[in-house]
Amino acid sequence: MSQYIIETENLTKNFGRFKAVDHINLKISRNKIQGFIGPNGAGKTTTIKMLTGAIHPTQGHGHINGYKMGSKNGKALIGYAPAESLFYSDMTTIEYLVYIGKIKGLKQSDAVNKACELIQYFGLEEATHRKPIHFSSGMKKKIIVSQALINDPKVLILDEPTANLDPTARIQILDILQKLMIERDISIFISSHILSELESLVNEVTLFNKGKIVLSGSLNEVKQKYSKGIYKVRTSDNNLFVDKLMEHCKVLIKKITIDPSGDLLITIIPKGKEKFELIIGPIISHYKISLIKFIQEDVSLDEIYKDIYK
Amino acid sequence: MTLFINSFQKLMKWYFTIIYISIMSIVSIVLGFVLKYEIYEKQLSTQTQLSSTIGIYYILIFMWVLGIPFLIMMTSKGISLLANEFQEGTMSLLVSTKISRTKIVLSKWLALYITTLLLGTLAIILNLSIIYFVSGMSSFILNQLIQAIPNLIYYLLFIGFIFTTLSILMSLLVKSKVLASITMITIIILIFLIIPLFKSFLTVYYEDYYLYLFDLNYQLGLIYNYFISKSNIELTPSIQNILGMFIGIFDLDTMVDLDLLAISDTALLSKASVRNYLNVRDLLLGWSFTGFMSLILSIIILQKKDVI
Ligand SMILES: Nc1ncnc2c1ncn2[C@@H]1O[C@H](COP(=O)(O)OP(=O)(O)OP(=O)(O)O)[C@@H](O)[C@H]1O
Ligand SMILES: [Mg+2]
Repeated sequence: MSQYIIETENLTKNFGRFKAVDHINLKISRNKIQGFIGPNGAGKTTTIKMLTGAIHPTQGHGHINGYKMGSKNGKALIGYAPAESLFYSDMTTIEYLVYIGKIKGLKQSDAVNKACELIQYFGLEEATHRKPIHFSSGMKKKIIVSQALINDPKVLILDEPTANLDPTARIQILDILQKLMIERDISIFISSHILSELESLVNEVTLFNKGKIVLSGSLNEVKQKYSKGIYKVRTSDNNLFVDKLMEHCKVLIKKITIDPSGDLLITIIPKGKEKFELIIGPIISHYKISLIKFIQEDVSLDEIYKDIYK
Repeated sequence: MTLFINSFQKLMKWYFTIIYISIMSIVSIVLGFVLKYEIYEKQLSTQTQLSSTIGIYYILIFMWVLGIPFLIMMTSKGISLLANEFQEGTMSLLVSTKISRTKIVLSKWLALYITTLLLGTLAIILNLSIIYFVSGMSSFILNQLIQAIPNLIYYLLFIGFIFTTLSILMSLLVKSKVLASITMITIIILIFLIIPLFKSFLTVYYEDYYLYLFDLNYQLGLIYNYFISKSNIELTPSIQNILGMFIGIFDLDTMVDLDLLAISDTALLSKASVRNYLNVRDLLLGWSFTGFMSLILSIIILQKKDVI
């Protein structure tokens, strides 16, 4: 069994001459939350709809847990929450959830149990016997995500689950996803154009633009790659430390400044990271300097995003 | 199964059924009174009463009970059945579940067809009951009309199949629900009103240009005639005369222009021959095949479609 729950190979979708999705090789690990991030029009929804079988690819293919995407077995494994809130105007929340459950092959009694369970899980009790089309965006999103979960999917595919939500509703949804991830054997694929909010949630990210994957990997890898290479350092003797650095590894260092608290901010050249970290040990032990602080400054996904999409 | 039941419930919404039944009933009531005052209360022979009643009843079923309002209602409903799922976007949810697209089309169509059969049968029975109670027809005539019902239901099976399959296909071919409905309504109005009106002006060209191939009124009429002549009720010349006024399937030369409601001397009439431009069996086969192909085509279209 492949380590990836979803894999695509040269997946492509053209609308006429326009390449909405262009030969992408997507890999989504099991039991992880993968963020699928790109600006409006990047092709996120098109990709997702190919995975769910709603859109036929122009070229290439994809598999879900080894089953062809769009096949009956492939589809049976997914729970999909579309970006828009899609409801039937004549159904109440419970009727809607039960209906979707039965469409997905559950027995009436199981569908009812599952629907009630989800209503509790999402705190939708007061909405149970009302029609979702009149609800607030936050409520609608919760219902859309619950219907995706009704068949206990192995893969949860969420298209912009937090778009148009106020911060409270957004945090609620993200908290629920986090909880799901911990409690269940599930992989989550979540698209968004807002990076910062996913930062605390996702384990892996794929940055996507103009139908192509720009960058993909675990959150740490991506951060590492886009790291600005700034270290915050404090030693027992900053002056001596700087002197010795300049003496032994001047080539690795771009810039050294001092921040208001007196810490050194050392910017190193790209790809200098390994050598730099290796040389620090010998220097401090040889010159009997003690290291009080040594932190690599984190780069936020937002900054990476700005870097890529500017 | 779930999808079938859900579609069925949508189609059988009480207000929809009630509106349809009401429209139906108004005409039945009016006709009941017409029969009462124009036929049963006049000094006419039983045979004449029977022929007039049967002729009028057959026309009513063809044009109205299973005709214009019925077909318009069923096709519009049929078109919304799939079109609404696209419009509300719920189709993209449906196709992402393990239910197959073939099943989606078939469930929706089957629900529509069964609703059509149920409502059509209900309408036939209700219509006859109303006419009976309002007109006070003799139980002899009522018995005769009841005997016609099975054959009317066979016709319903046929016409229901054609129009339900066509409306499903229409809803997949034409993006806009309104446009699809208008197209179907136009076809229905053409068949039952426009073509019969204009046909008399076209008699000169009718055969030369094979216009009967496009004359759906003629074709449906021929098929209707086929079903009703299978029943125990004999199609007497006077019944044919009445039918002939609305369905141009009989040879005009042998027809006498009569007052619809006062056929006094049936002996004068000789049996009209049916214009056999087309063979009714070919027609039945051809149209059934068309219905069947519409269904297959609908499945193929949905299979290939990107559900955006
Ligand atoms: N049916 C279609 N016909 C033609 N072009 C389309 C169609 N659907 C999408 N596109 C185009 O494909 C591109 C990708 O669209 P898509 O909806 O996948 O983007 P997205 O990343 O989901 O964007 P958003 O953040 O706005 O949801 C867009 O430029 C869009 O205009
Ligand atoms: Mg989108």
